[in-house]
Amino acid sequence: MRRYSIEEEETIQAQDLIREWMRSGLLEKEQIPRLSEDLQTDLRRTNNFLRLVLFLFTAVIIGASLLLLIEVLHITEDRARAMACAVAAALCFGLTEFLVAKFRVYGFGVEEALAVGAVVLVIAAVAQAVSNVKIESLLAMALALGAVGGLLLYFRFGFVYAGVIAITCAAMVPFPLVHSVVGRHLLAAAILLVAFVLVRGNDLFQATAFAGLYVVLNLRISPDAVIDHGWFYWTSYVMVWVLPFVGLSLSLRARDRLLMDVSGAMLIATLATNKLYLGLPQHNWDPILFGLFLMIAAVCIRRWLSKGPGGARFGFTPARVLNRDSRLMIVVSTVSAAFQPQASPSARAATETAKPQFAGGRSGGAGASGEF
Amino acid sequence: MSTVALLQKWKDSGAITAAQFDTLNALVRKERFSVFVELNVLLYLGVLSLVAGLGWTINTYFADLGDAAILIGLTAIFTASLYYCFTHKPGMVVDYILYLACLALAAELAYIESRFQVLRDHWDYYVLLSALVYFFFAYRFDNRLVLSLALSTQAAWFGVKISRFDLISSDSLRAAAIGYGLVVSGGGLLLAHQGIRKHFLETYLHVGANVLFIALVSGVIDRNANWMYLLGLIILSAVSIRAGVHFHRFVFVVYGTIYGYIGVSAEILRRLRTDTAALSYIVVSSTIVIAAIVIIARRFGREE
Repeated sequence: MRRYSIEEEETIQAQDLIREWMRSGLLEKEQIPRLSEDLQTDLRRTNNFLRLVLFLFTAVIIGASLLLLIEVLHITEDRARAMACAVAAALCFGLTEFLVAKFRVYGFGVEEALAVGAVVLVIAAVAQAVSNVKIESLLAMALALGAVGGLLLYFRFGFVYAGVIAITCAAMVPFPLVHSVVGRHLLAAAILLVAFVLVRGNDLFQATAFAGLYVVLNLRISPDAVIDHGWFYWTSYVMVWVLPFVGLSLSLRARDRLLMDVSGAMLIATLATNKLYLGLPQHNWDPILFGLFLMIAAVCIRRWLSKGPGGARFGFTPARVLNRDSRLMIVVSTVSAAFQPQASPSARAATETAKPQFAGGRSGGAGASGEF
Repeated sequence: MSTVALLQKWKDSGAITAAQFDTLNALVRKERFSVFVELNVLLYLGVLSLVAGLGWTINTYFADLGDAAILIGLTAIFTASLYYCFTHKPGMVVDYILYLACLALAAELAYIESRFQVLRDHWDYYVLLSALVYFFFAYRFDNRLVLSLALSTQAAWFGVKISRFDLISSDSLRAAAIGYGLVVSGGGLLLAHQGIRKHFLETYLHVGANVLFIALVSGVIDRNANWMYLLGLIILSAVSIRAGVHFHRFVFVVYGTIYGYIGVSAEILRRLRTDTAALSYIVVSSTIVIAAIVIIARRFGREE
């Protein structure tokens, strides 16, 4: 069923690795041609920036072409529109198959947009065909189709984000269908738990399912959860403390970075929502204590690890090993310029009033919240 | 073939040394596992939360705490943080303590002006002063996070300066943005040309290019604006795409393509009278964009 063989995908992963090792100074540039001889593949790829542009413009073409067809042929009836969407979906999927077979593209943007477009068009076709049903049923049907479609794209073309979308859609199906808050959260948690068990071994899917499980169980971050007492409320309180530690324990043993990061984020969210859960009053200085706690924790972990033999303990090191870590931090620091309230030209109007106020961090955006 | 098997094969054939094999094998088997990014994130969130909490507390309790207590507290944070930065080796922790010092300084200056109005109508000099201090620290400690703070503070100063001339209009704000974008991009290029922290250049160019593009696109979309915006946008897009391809910085190709397309399409779509014509234009123009990008993509493959 898969369009790319396991060997081809392993080769591509190895190509990416040797490129990263070269950037990180672990391999010499002169060694690369020799190593690349063992990593030959006829698959055509592009870099992520061009891939993004190709994806976006292909998606625009799909949407515009369909609307043009409806406009030119004066298709006004729901059934006829559903048929047009279904035909367009089949065409998109066929084009994806053709591009992969003929041009051997892999992660090229165009074929990805066509495949994702096919799933979206199937959902649109079904929505048009059954437009007289209740909105909740329609939403549930769309989510179910999204889950099935995402799964299909993952198995057929190996699009990992389609797998992530599939898990997310599957977990959201109970929300429009089940009235009871407890019922829908329990059902979603059960779906995510099953997904977590089924996808063991795939780091990304496992982390997605685990993060989803936390989100549906933490009633203080779920927008629809209005209950603040009862057995489910307190069970969920216990779970939001238990889950991060379970995740950290599993991930540290398996050296699973994604699960470790997700579990760390969950622990931070648990700490941040703890007072809300217990109904305790919030204090203005809580963020100060929280910030100090995070900083002290980071410094202590760093010191403890770096004082181990060879600057590491149990294999964990605070040092940068790969160049991509630095690149990621560069992106974060550059993007942080946009988070300052004054950074965008449109925000300048906010500075019109000459009278200074101790609000908004005018002197350089002090106060990350912008609520200074 | 698995990566471990490949490494073994390369070692046996002499393509990689035994030392390289040991290092890479440890990475692949996750026997050496870096938590560099995770620690950075913890420190960053910690500083942001701390400063947000400080602001919130001061804002709520400044009457109870008194000016002296607040100013002494903020000065203590600023000087202690700076002392730490100057007395410790550069590294991850110093980076974020410096960031904390800069945010504490910003809070202090804002508090002084809001309570005592020392500079009154010229309070924008606080903004300029803090931007200059941040630039100094960014270069002194080689800190990109503080550089980004300096650039956004400089942008704020440009905006405030414009408001001083009572010329508040979309065009004057766009002019400020274009001026700022040119100063930032030009300044970055000049400093890099002089060999001063050359690795900061991309940060300057990202910020400068985005501000310029946003200002020009907003000018093109505005029906009453000058046609020079469109000309400027086309030239900037061409330069961005050309330079991005030449220097293999493909994100600038993305900027040039997307901003350029939005601006040019806004102008053309405004003149098209029917939906059919507009949709036909979108299909044809997007196809041309895809064809052009595919040609570039085939030339460079997976390079980033």
